[in-house]
Amino acid sequence: MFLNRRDFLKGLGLGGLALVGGNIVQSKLNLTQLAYASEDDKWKQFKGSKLVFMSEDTPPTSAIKAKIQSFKDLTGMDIEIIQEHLDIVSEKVGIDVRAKKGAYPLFYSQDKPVGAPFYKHAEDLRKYASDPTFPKPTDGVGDDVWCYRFLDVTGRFFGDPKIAAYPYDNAICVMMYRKDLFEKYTKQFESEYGKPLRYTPDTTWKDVLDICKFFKKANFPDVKYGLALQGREGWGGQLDFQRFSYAHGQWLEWDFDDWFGSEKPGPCRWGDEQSILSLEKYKEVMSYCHPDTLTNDWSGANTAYITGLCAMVPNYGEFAGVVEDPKQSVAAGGRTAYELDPKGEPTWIVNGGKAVNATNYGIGGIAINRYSKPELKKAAYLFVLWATSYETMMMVLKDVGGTPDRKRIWEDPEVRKAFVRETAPMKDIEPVQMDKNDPKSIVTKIPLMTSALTFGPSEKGILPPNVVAGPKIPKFNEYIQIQTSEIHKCVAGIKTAKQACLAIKEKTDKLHGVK
Amino acid sequence: MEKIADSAVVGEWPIEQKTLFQRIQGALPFHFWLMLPTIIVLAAITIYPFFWMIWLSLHQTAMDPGEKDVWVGLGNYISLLDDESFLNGVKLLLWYFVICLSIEMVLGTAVALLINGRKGENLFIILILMPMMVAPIVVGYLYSYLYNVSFGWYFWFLKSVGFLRTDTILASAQPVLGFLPSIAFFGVVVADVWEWTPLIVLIVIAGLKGVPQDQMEAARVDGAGSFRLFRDVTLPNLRSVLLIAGILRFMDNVRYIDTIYVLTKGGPADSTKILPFYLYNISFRYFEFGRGAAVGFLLLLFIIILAMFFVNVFKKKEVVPVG
Amino acid sequence: MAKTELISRAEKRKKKIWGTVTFIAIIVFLIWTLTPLFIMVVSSFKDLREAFQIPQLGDWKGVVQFFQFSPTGRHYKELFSGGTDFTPYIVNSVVASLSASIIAVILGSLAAYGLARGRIPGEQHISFWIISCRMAPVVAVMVPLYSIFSAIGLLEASRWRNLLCLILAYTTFSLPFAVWFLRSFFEDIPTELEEAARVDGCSDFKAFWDIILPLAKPGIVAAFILCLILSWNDFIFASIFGQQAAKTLPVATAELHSTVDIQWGKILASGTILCVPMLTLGLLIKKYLVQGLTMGAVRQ
Repeated sequence: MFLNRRDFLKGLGLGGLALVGGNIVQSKLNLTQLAYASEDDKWKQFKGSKLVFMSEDTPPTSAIKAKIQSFKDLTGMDIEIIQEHLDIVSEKVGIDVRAKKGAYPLFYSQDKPVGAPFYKHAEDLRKYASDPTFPKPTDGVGDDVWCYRFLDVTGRFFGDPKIAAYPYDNAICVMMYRKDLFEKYTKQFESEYGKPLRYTPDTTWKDVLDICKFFKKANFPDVKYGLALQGREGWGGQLDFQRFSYAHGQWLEWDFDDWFGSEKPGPCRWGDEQSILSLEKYKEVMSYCHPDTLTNDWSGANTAYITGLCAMVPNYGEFAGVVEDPKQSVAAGGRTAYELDPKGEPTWIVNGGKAVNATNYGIGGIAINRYSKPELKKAAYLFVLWATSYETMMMVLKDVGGTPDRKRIWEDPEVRKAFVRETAPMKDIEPVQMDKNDPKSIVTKIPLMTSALTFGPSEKGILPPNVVAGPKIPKFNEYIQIQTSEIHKCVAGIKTAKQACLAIKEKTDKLHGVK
Repeated sequence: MEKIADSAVVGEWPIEQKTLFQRIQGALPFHFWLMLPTIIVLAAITIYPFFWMIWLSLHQTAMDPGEKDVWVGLGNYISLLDDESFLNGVKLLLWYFVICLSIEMVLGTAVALLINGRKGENLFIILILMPMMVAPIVVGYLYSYLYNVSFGWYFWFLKSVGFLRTDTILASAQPVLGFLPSIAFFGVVVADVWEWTPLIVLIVIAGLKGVPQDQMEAARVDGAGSFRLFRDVTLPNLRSVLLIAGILRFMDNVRYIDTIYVLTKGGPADSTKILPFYLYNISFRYFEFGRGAAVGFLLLLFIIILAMFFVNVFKKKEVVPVG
Repeated sequence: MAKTELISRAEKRKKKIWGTVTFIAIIVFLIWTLTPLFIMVVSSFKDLREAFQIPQLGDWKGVVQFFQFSPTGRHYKELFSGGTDFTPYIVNSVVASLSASIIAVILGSLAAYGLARGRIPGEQHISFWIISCRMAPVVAVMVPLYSIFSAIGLLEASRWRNLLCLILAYTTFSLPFAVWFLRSFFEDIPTELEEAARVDGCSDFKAFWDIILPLAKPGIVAAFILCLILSWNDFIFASIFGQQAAKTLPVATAELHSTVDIQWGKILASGTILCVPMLTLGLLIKKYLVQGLTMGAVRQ
């Protein structure tokens, strides 16, 4: 009577598995010929093939997508670039590798949330790097061409020498603040606190607390809060607290190497004196911050800042683009300045460690899915080379204010000029009147490479003693839920700092099977 | 054999023409054939996943290449008893559906009673229907726009009126009055009530139109006031309608996490992490499919048991249905 | 005579007061219902910085700020231009939900009729099993469903395959609903009609098709529309099974919340667009919905 669905589907042919994640057109040259071929031929060896790249929805990927024609021209290959939220990337890659399908030959490997759990499913890029049949990118791909230890962060896990991914973009945290508001209210601040309202690399978290108290009490019409933090459940909240906890004594959750992480973390330090004190102080700072903190992640905090409700926000370099856009942001047009994250307050350190300007980040890498067909993986490596090359990163930087990972770009004199607003190359935009009541406040230009404005402080932030790269553990995603959940309970007053820390310790150790 | 008159042939083929197919067709009731496609489709889509889910729940799944799933028997289930997030999820789920359902049913019925039979009833119904047509994910974004501390109109209104004591809606994690869920939780409840009360209104209005007028007249002649009319005549006739509305809403209320996913992602402080959301985290954040399957199975059991309970409670008071 | 006049006047006044009170109550409820939508539609025409403007706390006169903006269709233009053209997503949504609802209603009405009329052993159990298919938490069944669909090859990067996958997924929850919903309609239609048809020489099927089905039309249309709404609004299934090739409108709207930028303007615009078809549909079906529910509501 009615064709039931099963029969219908069977009729369509089950053999459609040939198109698993892209397709490959074999090279016509054999390996020896390839090894001696010209660079151009090496790039074009898989001409006609098609790749798939599962990426996070970030500006570098958008820029690459817009300029993908240059990749197609260089290699003759086509590529489908999928952009999703990091959560969804994680989900889909996870489902794919568990089913061992290889539907995404290339995937975005964010160092901790995606890289650590899935590194075993990524190809070892070393074997392609030493393969003479592949073209040599400008400067190569050795450790020293990338910014300080970026290759360790994205590529090396748990003491395994394998390289799982090359650095592709980065999100380094700096402090963004309204220097115009600071200038406006410095007299009043000085009369109450005996010091000028300024933000420098020596500003400690206690100074920040004072600034927050000041703004909250004053309740000015054009700014309500001093600081917007990002306490949201998950990675946003973990990074946020880490900037605070590492600043005070360089406190780390575990004692394994922070750069490489560990598969068997062992008991954690949560519950020790320093962690409890840090959490108490963090809670105190939070109580004067923008109240939506517990529900804001980086984009929520950014919105709070660009709508003018707070005077400062620690956020990632890629947000400079939005912050500097006068159409969306009241903080544009030169009102924002960028500096290192706050230093630890020495009187809040009890573990004998140093006070540092704790800077953390997420370095995204591109990894190759080991379950794809071998030839497809080789073709995918060509994309990896192209996307992480000096030329491409420079182009992305100039286009959307990208986040390059190669030292050479950071040291380029043109780019260095863009670090500071006064010398940065600008581009014209439609005039926007920043202040309705002030006809002189018209903005007609914005910096060409907006994210470069954050490179000055970032440069120092990614070096020791300021940088904190970990914790790299396979169960990262579950750990950050536990951590942020308990921190929330402490901040909301449901648990004391001690109870929260001990709860984190108990649950985390249970998670790792530590008795 | 004598030919029977055409008009007397009742769905039976003349004996000489019966083929094997027709014999089978004749042996099974006609109505069974009608149900067959549905049963096949649903069986294909649900039976396999159901048993798979049970099978998966008895293992600890491995993500790493080369590792196999490990049999743990009831290990996953037992570990849930100890799992604070699981127990929290159950507690919040109970709060969630009890609060949402009660408000929606009472409010929906009240509005239906107010509108029924009025002048302009049609216009009111059309206007009231609108929230129902909005996708839950959009409702999430809309309310997140309205609750935002920086630019949310609802936040501004509630704070200006003085109803909201805290400085934020979505980041407010403290239990209200010490034992109720947090304000963020109620924020989610409000979004759900806004979207789905219209469904109840619609169903109840339809039911009200089915109330036998003769009963109403008889009661009025007896001198019953409007309240007694409602209690003794309207309500008994509405019972089955309320049951439909209640079960329909219940089934969706405990499954949809779209709105929570956008509004709060389960936070703050786990105060909106109802069980289905925790299930989502386990399966798709931590990739612990075994544990996820165990939670999924328990959730399904919970929903079925509750649905059966409601149906029985209502069925007892019903007139014996025909057929 | 005077006494009854007084009584009826008092009663009339009471009725009038009660009438006004209920009218006000309805208006309040309407305001509560329509305000969020109103805000969404109006804000979708505002430039971002204006969309973020709210008055100071307690500044009631400041409410006019809501209306002080220069309207711009920019967000709508952006939705349909360039690399993020929403048109294919709308098409995907329409195709997937229409197909699933049609299938659900066709198979569902057959099954509902069978359940209503047939004296099959275990009928109550089958009926309960069918409706319990709808109760399964989506997340719990997603992983096994993913494997099934993947094995059949529906998750390959091809638009029609992914659409098929979505249609199948939507049918999983539309079909049980259609069966459950329509069953009471068929139960209400008196069996005498079929007996009469049989006496006239109709086969079972013909009786069903020509006589019973038209009577149940309001219910079938109502069921179709409700299934359509549920499928159109789905997010979770589409985000996992839809893949890229068959992205639906809700998923595309969620993607506007990108990592760096919450594109509020486009989100509000997309939300408005998402509502429009369903609103128009709602207006069309209202008649059927009420009529349809009336028919079957009393029995269950």
